[in-house]
Amino acid sequence: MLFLMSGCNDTPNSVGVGIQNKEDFGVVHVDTFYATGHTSLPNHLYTSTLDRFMLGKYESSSGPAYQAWTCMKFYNWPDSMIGIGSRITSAWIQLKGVYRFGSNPSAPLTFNVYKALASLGNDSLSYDSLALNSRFYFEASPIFTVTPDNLGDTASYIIPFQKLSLVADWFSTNTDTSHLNDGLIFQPTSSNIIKGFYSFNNADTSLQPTLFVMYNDTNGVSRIYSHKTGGAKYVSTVSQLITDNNFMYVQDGVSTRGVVSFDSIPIKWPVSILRTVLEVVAQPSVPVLHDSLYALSVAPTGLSDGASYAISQTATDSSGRHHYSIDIRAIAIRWLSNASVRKVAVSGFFEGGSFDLFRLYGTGALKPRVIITYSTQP
Amino acid sequence: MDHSKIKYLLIFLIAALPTGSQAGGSAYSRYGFGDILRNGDSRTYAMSGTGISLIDDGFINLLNPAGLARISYTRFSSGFEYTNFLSKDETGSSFYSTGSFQGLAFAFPISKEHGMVMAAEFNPYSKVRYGITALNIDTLIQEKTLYGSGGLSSMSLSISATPLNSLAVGARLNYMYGSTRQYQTSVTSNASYTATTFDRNTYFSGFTLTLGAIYEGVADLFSLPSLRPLTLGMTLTTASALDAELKETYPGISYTAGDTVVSTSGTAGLPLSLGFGLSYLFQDRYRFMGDIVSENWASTEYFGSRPADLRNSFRASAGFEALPAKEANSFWKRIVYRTGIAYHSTYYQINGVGINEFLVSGGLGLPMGPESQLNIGLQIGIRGSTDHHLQKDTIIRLSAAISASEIWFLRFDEE
Repeated sequence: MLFLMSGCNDTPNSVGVGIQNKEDFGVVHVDTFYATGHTSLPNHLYTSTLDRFMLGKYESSSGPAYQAWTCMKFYNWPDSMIGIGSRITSAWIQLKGVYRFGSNPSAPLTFNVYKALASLGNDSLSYDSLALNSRFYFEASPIFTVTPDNLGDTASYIIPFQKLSLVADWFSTNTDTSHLNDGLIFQPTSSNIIKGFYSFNNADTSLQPTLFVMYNDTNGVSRIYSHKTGGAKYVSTVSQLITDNNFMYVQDGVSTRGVVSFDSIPIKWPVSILRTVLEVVAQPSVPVLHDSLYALSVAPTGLSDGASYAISQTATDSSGRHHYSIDIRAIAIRWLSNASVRKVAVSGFFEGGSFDLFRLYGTGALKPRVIITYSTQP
Repeated sequence: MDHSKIKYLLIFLIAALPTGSQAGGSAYSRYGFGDILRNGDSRTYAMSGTGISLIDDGFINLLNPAGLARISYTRFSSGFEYTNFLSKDETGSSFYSTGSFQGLAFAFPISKEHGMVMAAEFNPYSKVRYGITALNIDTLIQEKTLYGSGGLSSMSLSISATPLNSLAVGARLNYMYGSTRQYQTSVTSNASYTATTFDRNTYFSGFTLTLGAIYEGVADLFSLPSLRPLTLGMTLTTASALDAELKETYPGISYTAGDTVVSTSGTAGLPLSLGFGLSYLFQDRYRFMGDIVSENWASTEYFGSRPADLRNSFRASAGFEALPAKEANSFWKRIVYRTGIAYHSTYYQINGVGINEFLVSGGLGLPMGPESQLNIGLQIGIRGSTDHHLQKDTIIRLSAAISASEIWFLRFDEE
């Protein structure tokens, strides 16, 4: 008998659905909530870990004005090169271009090169701290001014050293205790272009900044040594960015992030959130290089913390405006579960690698909104 | 027949039988505490759970503690049940099977003169087991499956006594415990939506008290000798508000992407249960019995509210047993034949319609040695109907159980 009764279907099917309350299956709700506030907040960029750094200045009569200064240092010399300083005959730095901000590709990039007087390695170093404490960080007078030939956006830039004694000091020791080598600061002087160059963090060593040193060996034979060990970062600033408080400004390269508040979401926790979409709309006619946005979680301090983040889907156009949708389910879970603030930050896709600007509607019918799809249980 | 080998083999087989797969059962068991079980004992099983008035040696009466009073040797009983559900509704049919342990009971006499017998019992009280898949609930949820499992059990201590020659009384303290689990999975029609799960576990614990009496003096009371084989029985089990802790788990939705668990404490009510039974032993061989049991489930509360899907239940059953002749001396002549029928107005009330069950049963009591039997019972029942979008269950239950006394384990020297 036991054997006759075996072979049953153990996989659930629809039999029994009719005797269940519809609510037993959970009820799916789709609720839309509009932003209750917005703001644009500066954000510190940690540029020393990027695969590129920026240098240049861009000013226009109708928009914001930008500056990006570069801090660079070569170090960690091989023992065989220590002490060649007096035999150096020439030196130059080669940079590989990767990015341009500015409408004129042939605009010249000129900049002053300063000797740094203090360590520039602190990650919290900003444009303001560098400018306000310039005498602390670098010499008053530039070592020299560079006017590279304009070779295009991705070509090599050669910075010839006009003060070889500085390079000679670098090669005097690897245990620098007297600030012989705190690196260089490049301050832009031209005003129509910002260039991006590959940094030491780029995986392709052929694209990394390279210091070339021509010297005579002990036999008097001329040799060239190339060095790719170093660090580079940039500090930047923008002025006249926020001109209309009806908008939220998301500025890459500086950076500024938009922060949206959703203080009124009356969903009783817990619920099973199937999806939460943040929708923001950009003002038309603002071309960007990387047409994508990040949504980031915001800490109780009101600053974005990046603990949760999501990238926008492909932007769509409607009525001439650019619409971005970002799945922020993880952030919504934080909001509804125990967050003291219900805010989301919006940043550009390549925040440290471009100067894209997104002007997002913050008020009116096009202000940000979240659409929360969730299921409640009986 | 070498009983010593057979009995140990049977004990091993029962212990080794699976206690149920993840298969489903009836979707009705989603409500209340699930399907309320009324096994009674392996003997009463074949008589559709009839036996409130049964008082006999060689039998642990799980329905009425007063029925323990005649036990003269230490006894135990245990069994296994295999259940098949053929469920039908307007969408189709499904066929599920499950196996489960049927309980374990020990009883030992303290004072035969005063009918004092103690018993310790472990029995399943209810069973939840189902799986239901709903398709296209809305435009987003493509498929949702509900699973349920668990149930209540009882651990009990009983004692009986005979204050009068014709009256046996008993009491049983029942520790009710267990948990039920409702688990949901979903499949969305759009991959950009996160499929969610939901887990609801409810843990129960509490006590009930069963009081019972069996009266054999009807003939003397009414001076009708013809009623001497008649016994009357009654049981009363107190209502109880079990402590209940509900844990609702939302996987993956906490601040740290872990589970969010919401705990709620409350009570879950068990009803007052009142049962009456009678038994008539004709010619010392043929026993006719009848039971009725009423339980006021409609008055119970579950976490502070009255469950709309429950109603008062009522069960009426009749059983018959053909006992072997006293002089029977062969295996075949000592077989006991049993049959029964029951009508159960269950506590389920779905979509406003009460769910009723009809049951017929039969079985054998196979002699396994002195004071010991292997009881086999078969129940076939029909529950509900497919009207009103409901479900009709055809239930087949097969039970194999041992009821034995300490004598079964004694080795007698053969002359």
